[in-house]
Amino acid sequence: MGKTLRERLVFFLRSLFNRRAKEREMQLEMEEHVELRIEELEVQGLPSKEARRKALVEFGGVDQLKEDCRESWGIMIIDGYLKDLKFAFRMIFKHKLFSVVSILTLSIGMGAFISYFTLIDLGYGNVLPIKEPDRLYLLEWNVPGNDNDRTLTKNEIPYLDSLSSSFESRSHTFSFEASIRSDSTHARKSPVLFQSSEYADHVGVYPNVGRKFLDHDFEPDGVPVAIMSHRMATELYGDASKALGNNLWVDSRSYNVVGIMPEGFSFPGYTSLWLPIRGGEMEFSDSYDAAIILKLGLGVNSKRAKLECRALGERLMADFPTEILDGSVLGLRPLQDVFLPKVAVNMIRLVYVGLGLFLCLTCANVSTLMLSRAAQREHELAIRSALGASGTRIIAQSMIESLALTLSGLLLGTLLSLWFSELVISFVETKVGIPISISRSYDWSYYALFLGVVAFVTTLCGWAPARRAASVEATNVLHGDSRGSNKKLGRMSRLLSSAQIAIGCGLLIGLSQIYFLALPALLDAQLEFDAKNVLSVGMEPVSGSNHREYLKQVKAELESSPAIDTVSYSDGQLMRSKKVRIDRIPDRDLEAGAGQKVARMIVGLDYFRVFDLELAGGREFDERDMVNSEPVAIVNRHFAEKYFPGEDPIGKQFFQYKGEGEKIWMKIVGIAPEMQMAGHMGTQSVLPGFYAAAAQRSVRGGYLSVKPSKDRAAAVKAIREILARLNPNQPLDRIVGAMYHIDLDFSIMRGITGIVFSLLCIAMFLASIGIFGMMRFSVRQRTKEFGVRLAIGASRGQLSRSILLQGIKQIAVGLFFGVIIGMAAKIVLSLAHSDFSATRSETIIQTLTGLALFALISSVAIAIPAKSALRIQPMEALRHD
Amino acid sequence: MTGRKKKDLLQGTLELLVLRVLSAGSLHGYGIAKRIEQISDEALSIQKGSLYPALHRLEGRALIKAEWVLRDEKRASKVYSLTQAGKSQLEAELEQWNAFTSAVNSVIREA
Repeated sequence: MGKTLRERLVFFLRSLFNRRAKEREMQLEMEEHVELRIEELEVQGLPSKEARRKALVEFGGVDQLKEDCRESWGIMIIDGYLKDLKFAFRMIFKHKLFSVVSILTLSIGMGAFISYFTLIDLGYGNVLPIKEPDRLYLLEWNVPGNDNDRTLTKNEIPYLDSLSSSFESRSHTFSFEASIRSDSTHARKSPVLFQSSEYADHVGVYPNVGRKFLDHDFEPDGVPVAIMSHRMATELYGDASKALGNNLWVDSRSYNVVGIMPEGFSFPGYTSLWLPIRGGEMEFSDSYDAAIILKLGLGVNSKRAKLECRALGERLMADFPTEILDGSVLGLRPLQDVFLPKVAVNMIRLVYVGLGLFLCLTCANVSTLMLSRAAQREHELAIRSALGASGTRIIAQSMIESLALTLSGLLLGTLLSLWFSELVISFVETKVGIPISISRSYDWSYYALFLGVVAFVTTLCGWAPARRAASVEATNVLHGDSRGSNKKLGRMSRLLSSAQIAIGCGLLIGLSQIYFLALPALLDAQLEFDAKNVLSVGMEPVSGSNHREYLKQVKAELESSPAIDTVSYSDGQLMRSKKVRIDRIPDRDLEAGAGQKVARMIVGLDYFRVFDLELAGGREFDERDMVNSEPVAIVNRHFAEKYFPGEDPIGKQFFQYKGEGEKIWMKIVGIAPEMQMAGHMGTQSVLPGFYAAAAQRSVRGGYLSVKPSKDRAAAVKAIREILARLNPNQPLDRIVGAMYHIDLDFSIMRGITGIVFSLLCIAMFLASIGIFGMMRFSVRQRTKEFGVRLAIGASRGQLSRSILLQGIKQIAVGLFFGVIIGMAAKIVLSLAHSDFSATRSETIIQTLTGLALFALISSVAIAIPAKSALRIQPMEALRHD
Repeated sequence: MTGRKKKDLLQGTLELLVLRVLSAGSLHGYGIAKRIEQISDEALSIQKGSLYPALHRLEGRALIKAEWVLRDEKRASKVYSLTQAGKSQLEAELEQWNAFTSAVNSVIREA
């Protein structure tokens, strides 16, 4: 059976694609038949000439026979469609102006769709390059209404074993920055992830060189092994494959490299090394960012899983009443939300909706153009109909013409999109400095989507013109009476134009809303201090000596250089403060804010002086703040306003939770100048926070902020020389501008805003083409009427006014529905996320902006055809057909 | 409607005859037509307009296969032969045909 099917398929494909050979064979077969008959007749005694004549007469009409044979090949329908496609491409070359405008419009629409889809998909794949991210959740304690979360403690974790019905598995991770070096290279600071044995299966990405972690790697007495990122392996060993089996130093501990991850993989974040959590090696503490990841069982509803966690949380609260804060909820947070802020996810979703509408707008434009061309081809269609072509056949022909346009648009659009995507990727890589992995594998759904887009565009562009072509009344048209057709055509065209205007207007209102939402985030990105000239140096811990003393020595040596003005220390990079929990401020009932998470930065002497800032009150850290003296803190304005409203916080106390129940009481000695402590994509740049004195805390690694005396290059040179002398292990490639990491963050937001802005521009361009096409078509349709009106005394001004009025009426209808679409988009936006909910005045501004933009482009698009009506000559107009 | 039924019947019969003739050995189109005429004592005359479309149709359904063989030094013939699927089809159609003719004969005899 299988063989028969294969043979049938071969026959069919050969008939379809090897047509010339098939035709030649058929011709030879028939010639052979005639020759054999001639031979037979000659044998019977007929003269050669007579025998040939008789044989040919008997054989009959060759053409008809050939046609019957072709029909039996089963390819006639496809053949017919292929012929139609050829004809459609011929028509594209024949109607050049129409084709250029249509293909250009489609290529812009489809190109934009492909580009944005590919770029967003690429971005998504780079941020979250794991399998089934929608099944992974972080388990953490949180207090509703507060940005406050913490992972579970050592005592609480055994309770998780009872969570079995909703979850497939559980993994633990600890992330931190470590100093990494090979036997022959300088040390460098890089993010490292300790993982439990289940983590690799959760992520679903494995080393492509070497091996993954095996069970014995997780045993306490196993050989310490590591898996590296491709990038790190190349940097340390020159070639990824050479890294295997080598020795690697991670914070002075030795590991054996057993695997290299695929190129471009560095999840989570920029992790470059993965280490197994060996039994009992890690403790949950503030030193690491610990996480518990749960994988939802197949087909399990996340609501059910959340309820289960909440119930477990209640049990834990009953068993540990003193350790867990009142009101805490054990919740699940989708891993996607951790790496893609909700606001970015929602914006991406909205961009998709915008792209869909955008594509509709493109199709409506081309559909109007095709409709107007259908009017010009009325005679041709009437003749086809009169010759017996059925309505279905004419619809198919018209749809195939639409397909030819779509395919041409897709080809040009794909080229445009390749060029644009390449441009964006190289911009992100070179200017922003983020490496992009483009080794994405696309599954069938990706291609199905593009096939779907082609089908959607073809149908949307071609359906109205096809229906219109099929409804041509052959007799009337051939008699020269096409009033009925024109009436129908006008109605269809007006309907399409209104749809175009409505979509265009809705898109403009919706997009301007997103744009205005993104703008404040960008405006927030304006820092309250100037750090452009300041340098940041990642510090390497020194083994075997007191790091605090070492830092003191580094500061003294650097400040003695004439190229350097001031040096200070901080435990994190600029605006990369850690989050800690504070509690129980004496004499204050802080139930609602108890255990509130705040930003904390450990800083050395002169920290604010490096940024040319002065304290808003109190004093800076100084020599009085020693290890054994009372711990002190400098709080920022938001901290003071939140916890000490209307009071002077100087001299007041609060404490910070540290590890398992340990507390550090601190006395506030100063109020920090205006300076953001944490920033994340421009949305949470201002947090309540405090600075702790480096002299009173244990410090390790961290960063130096260096203010150059004059020239940055001279300062960099001095830093390199001094650090190399003081610590040979100090990596010298970690001197960057203090703003470097902040710029990276904001660049993502700028990218999304840029996408929205460019969509806005293209939407305006398409909307203007649509309105222009509709008005132009209308003027052409009414040319004869204008001729008559001019001939009987109407002025050109009256004609022009009549066109303008018609345009305005049309646009008013479109605007009405456009505003409804825009407002619906707004409601969906506010439902989607609270970040999108705008005040009444913002809504009015956004809507008015959309309308103003639309009014601007529509007035230009109406004015040009109206002006052309002024040039109509009555005699020419009356001759117009 | 009646005409169409008649045509279908004829078409079906022609395909059966072609399959039966080819079951005896490979033949070219002219040979198949000739063989049917000979066996039927010229009672059945095969129209070329029906034969070749039927042959192409059977080839498309993989019931027969075609190959070009040299007839003499200069000329080649397109020769058809039965495939395995064709043999099975022939058996099934012969069974149907026998049942049909015996039913018709019974009616003719006994009516």
